[in-house]
Amino acid sequence: MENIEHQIRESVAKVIKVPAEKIDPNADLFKELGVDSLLGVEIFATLDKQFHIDIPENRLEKIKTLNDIIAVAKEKINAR
Amino acid sequence: MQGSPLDQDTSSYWRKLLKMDAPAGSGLINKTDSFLKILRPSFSSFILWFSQRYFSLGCEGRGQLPPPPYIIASNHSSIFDFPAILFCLPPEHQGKIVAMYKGFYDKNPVTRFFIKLFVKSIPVDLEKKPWEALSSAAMILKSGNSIYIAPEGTRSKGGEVLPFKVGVGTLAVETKCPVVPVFIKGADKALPRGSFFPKRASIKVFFGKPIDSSIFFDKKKDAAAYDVYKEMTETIRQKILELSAL
Repeated sequence: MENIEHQIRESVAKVIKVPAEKIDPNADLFKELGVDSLLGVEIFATLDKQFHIDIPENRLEKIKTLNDIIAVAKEKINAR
Repeated sequence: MQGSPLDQDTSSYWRKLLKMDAPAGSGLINKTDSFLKILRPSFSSFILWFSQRYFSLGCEGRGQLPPPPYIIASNHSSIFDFPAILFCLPPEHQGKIVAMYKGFYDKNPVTRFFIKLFVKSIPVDLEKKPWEALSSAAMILKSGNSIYIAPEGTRSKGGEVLPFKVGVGTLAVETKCPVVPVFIKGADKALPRGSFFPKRASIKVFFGKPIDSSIFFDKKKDAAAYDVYKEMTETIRQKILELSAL
């Protein structure tokens, strides 16, 4: 699971073009790191593409931080 | 587990979110549309009549318009931008265009009423769920109607062209509809942001050559979808800037 956390952090960093080590896992990606809502969709599209984690539309609005992304990813992986 | 660097196409999630496989329809547009349909032609004709009398309106390049459906993307400096474009469209295109507008205006029932009264329209929630409006716009394009969008997302001041939101590129690439770049000159003098009373001014609408979105659709095979949408968006902005130099 630690490995998946690392991979998700790397993927998010690549999408939003910020060095992975500079992402505070509790920072609001949209308010603090300048991610617009459609770039946010690209993060979820990347998770779907790379890890087969399909986040449903009704949960997108509530995801704000890297930790939120990791939590929902773990939940989806555990449900497999 | 991770995809290969060459296999970056993330568009399947986007297409699902935008409901690209849904049948043609009107989506968000239906909610308040029934009785306004009856009043709209008269109100719309009045606004166009008033605009024609009060301002000096000119149109250039409209002969390049493709048959509907298409996406018109323009700079945005005044609430008269859309009426000016509507004035320039051929009559047979005027009833087949739906405008996207900032969902913020829905908070005021009076503003909302007049927007809906003037034109068929879709509110866009820029902050939270813009994909809902994009999905509705895609359904409208599929039904053969066109879309008007001001990709700056807000009115600019002093006639500058602000950076564009990526929604216009997303919609264009996924629907493969041609995008008509439009520059509106002088609307900021007629009724700039922050003013309530229109001033007599000359407004000219410049239509550019339609941009073929299908070329960008094919680029998704080798790139992240968002990067392609962004490239399409930048291309549209560039074409509008070129028109502004005419």
